[in-house]
Amino acid sequence: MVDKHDKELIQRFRENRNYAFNLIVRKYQERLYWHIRKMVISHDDADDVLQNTFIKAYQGLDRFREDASLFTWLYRIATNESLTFLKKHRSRFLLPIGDYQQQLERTLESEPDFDGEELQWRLQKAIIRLPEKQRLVFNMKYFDEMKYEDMSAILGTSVGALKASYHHALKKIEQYLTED
Amino acid sequence: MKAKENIPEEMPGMSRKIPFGVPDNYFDKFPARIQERVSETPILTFPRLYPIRRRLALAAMFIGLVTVGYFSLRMILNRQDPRILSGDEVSTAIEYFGYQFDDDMLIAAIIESDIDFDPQDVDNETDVIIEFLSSEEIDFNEFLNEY
Repeated sequence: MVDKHDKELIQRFRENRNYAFNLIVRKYQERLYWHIRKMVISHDDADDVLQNTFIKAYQGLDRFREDASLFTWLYRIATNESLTFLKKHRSRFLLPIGDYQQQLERTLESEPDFDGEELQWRLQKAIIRLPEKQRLVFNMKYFDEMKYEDMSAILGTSVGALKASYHHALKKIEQYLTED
Repeated sequence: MKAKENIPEEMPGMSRKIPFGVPDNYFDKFPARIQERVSETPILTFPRLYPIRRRLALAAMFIGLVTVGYFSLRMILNRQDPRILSGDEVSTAIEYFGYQFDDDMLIAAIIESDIDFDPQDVDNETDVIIEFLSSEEIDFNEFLNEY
């Protein structure tokens, strides 16, 4: 359900689009940015995807049905945009999944503060090696501490499947971290 | 599985912090940038379906009725399928194509045809078949047994 503040924002959006939309962007930009960034890794790509997410939201907010929370709706758009971006990027360069993961790893290593020895970076490297869906589930559960029910609403996947996916992701990450 | 849902407990030192950096003031500037893009983006308008919903429903109903009618008609016509031959037609066909028929084909053709054929009551209608069978030296008793 939409919380009271979001309801007001949506109402205001119908009266004064730009002003209310600015408030929505300010409220959710950081959470959405990090969600996207963990998927696409590079800041520039995350910036592009975040912009597309808000443009789509702006175009669709009139038709937003208030039976879901605004954040869930935005999160869903951001997720779809991230996955579409990754798919397009892969197909544009005709990259097999393994090569694409290596490319993401190189992007990660090009981060200014990258320290391959530090556990946080090793965790990120392990996450990159996961299949996209598992990566998504792991990020949402581990970093965003999201409930399975909310994840289910966003991803359109059953709670059971999400739990299984998270469990597989954990196993793989543990394996990677103990191997190195 | 529950115990494994929390990596930091199992691997001390690992926090949930994301190690990526963001350019300075990125989040301060972003709303203005998106506002700029939004003002350049045309708003997509989708025609509202409510006013034409009734007409669409009527059209769907009409299409449904036509479809049901079409299939019903086809079912009726299939019952009068011209491919099902009458007794005379079978006889003529046998006379005409007889030289190509072997015994099995002949029996199959008669069985598949719509002839109300009673082997115990051989009348004029089947005389032609009997004649054909005898001319082709097919054993009539064998034919009756098969049927």
